Amino acid sequence: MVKVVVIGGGWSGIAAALTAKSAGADVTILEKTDLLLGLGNVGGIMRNNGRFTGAEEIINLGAGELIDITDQASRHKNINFPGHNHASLYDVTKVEPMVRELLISKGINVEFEARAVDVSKEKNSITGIFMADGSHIKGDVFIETTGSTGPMGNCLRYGNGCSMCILRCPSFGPRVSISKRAGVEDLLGQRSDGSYGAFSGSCKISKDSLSREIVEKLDSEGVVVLPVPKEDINMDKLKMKVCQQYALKEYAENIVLLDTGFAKLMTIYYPIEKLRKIKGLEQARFEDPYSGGKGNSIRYLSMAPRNNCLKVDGLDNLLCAGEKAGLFVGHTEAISTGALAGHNSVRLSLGMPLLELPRTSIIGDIIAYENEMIKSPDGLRTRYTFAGGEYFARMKSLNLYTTDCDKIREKISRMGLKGIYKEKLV
Amino acid sequence: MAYESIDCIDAGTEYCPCYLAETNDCIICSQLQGKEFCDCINWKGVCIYQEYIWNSSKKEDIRKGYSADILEKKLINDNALYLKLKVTRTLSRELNHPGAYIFLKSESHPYFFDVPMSIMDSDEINETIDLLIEIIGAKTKVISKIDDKLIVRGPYWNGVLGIKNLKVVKNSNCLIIARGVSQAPAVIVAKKLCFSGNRVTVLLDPGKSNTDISREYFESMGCTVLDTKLLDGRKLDDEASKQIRNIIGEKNMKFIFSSGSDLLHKGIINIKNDIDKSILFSCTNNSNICCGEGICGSCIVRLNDNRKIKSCKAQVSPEDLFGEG
Repeated sequence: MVKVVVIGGGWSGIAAALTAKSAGADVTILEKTDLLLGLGNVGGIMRNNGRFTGAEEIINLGAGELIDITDQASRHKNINFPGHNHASLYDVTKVEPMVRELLISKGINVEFEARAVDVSKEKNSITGIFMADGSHIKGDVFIETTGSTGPMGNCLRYGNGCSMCILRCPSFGPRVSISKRAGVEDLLGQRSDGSYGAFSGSCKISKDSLSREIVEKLDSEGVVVLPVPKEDINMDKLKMKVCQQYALKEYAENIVLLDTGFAKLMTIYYPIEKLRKIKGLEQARFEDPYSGGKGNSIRYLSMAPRNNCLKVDGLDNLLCAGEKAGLFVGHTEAISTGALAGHNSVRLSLGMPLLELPRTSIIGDIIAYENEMIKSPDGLRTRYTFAGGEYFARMKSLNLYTTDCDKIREKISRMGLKGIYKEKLV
Repeated sequence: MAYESIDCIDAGTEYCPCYLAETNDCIICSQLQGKEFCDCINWKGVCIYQEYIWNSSKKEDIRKGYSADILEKKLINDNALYLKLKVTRTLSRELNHPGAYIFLKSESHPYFFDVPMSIMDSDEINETIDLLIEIIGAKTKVISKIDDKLIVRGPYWNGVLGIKNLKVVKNSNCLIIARGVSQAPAVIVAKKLCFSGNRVTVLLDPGKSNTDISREYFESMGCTVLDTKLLDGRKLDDEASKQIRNIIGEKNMKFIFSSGSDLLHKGIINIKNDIDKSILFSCTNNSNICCGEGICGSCIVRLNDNRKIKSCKAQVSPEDLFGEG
């Protein structure tokens, strides 16, 4: 049996594990913390703008289990907030146990508190992963989904220091770039001023610390928009964040809160003193990152060069997905790339041609487009997401954006790819 | 060879970050090795880069020299000197660890008379440390003539390699094989092993030091001490080999500490691996320690995989240094 080892248990790693399993592999996920989902434990935004199309493509390609979970766990569906339409907001406190149960039911082996630190290699093939405790895990094909966020030294050098985010590097140890350990240099995202990395784009406030009016409005409508006092408006902050889909004027002039179980504040960080000047937020405190008054995690410091099938360049048996595979933003994008990498891991082990999704699908297009764009400095300063910014504009101009589920189903069927991720290859 | 990360014994202590951070030679942190990104393969639980930046991009204060009264001095024979020194409560506590050592010199001699010395025992209540010194060269000869005070610099900790093996073994049978002046660091190792509920057997050879002063320490902890001639010229004695082999098998030893020369370490590793590779192993660090701070380079040794380490600070598995590779 083919043994696939997935390094990193975030959304992309989980998606990769599921499709690798569906294709017939024996799958192990190595997760450095005690929770699956990584940053997905503090995210929550699905189906906004082009992500609706993306989610439906994932379902039709045969990897819909995770979309089913986020749909089921949604506190709000089909809501609008500045620049974004028909969003779903999943409850971040509910979704991890649901995903964990799904993986167990599928027979996927998950190793928790298992931090990968190095590789063993023979020529250009990885033979195994060395763990922080000195143990060695062998495999046939490896999928790196370690993300590009942190660790502490990077958050310090390129940000405002460790902000104590959900990744909890000080407790569970830092992320190590596996592709780099295998000899492939990382690619780095940049900000508009050319500096490396970008801040994560939101902070989570405890709802219990907000006024009753705000909580009631969040519970019923999912969104609260509050004006920022004029003297505290800071347009420059928009340039620092990863999520260019939220780098809009409205997000500097207003506080945008979304209900994901926490009150998700759509800004990189916000000093407590200033935050508490706003009506209803007089007692606000952060849940994630704990030091959201001061900083946030730094991302995009560790992408692997890869082809459009998500195989890492220069290595025979390493694939990648999620932020490791490019300057992608969001859960939907992570699941999209993860599912393809997982499916291709089994093809790779069998010597079959790898699947490259056609560019008439938005998943195929964003993977290929990002790969073209990052060859230029400007491309390294851009983020790629179905939810907004440059890529959503491209989707619309290419007529790829639709919320018509039937149309998306027909399109995937016409490509001959309906349910392809469900096909057992071994 | 199995993957083995390199640890720094000082990482996360009050002496970290050190001069090596300032010169971009940190043993642990890629950012403090002149690289621009994290590559935390040797993570020790703290971000040294963060500690460094928060400390205004400076090292922490270095270890101080203390003037220590000689409370007891016994010239055991021409080669061996026993000393009991009065130190501070803090220093005695910090030295009450396997692998702890200090630098010692007379008050009147210059800094290059500093000699590294293993702690045989440390008494936190009475604030004393016990030392066994082999009088062998210029520095130890000077010390043997002093009767009142010595300058003690410390604490240092990397006198034992494979210290993590020593820390994990509990409620098991353990074997200490000690020869010559190396019986001194074995005492504090035995103390730790007994504290963890282990039953300790000691094979003791006075060697060139011609003393078995450690016996009373071992026996007071309840260890079984067996007299053994360990070396025959430049190799492990045949009888001793048989005895070690038998005792490991009979008592189902889970951990072995080799306290002697590199020759002894190699011989014992071979026997151990012949019987069961999974038996845990630690040994004394016999490198030439000169500054103790990773600066002078005298302690540099090459591992089996050709990596060079500064062994005054870097912790590695003994088998990466002495094993077959």
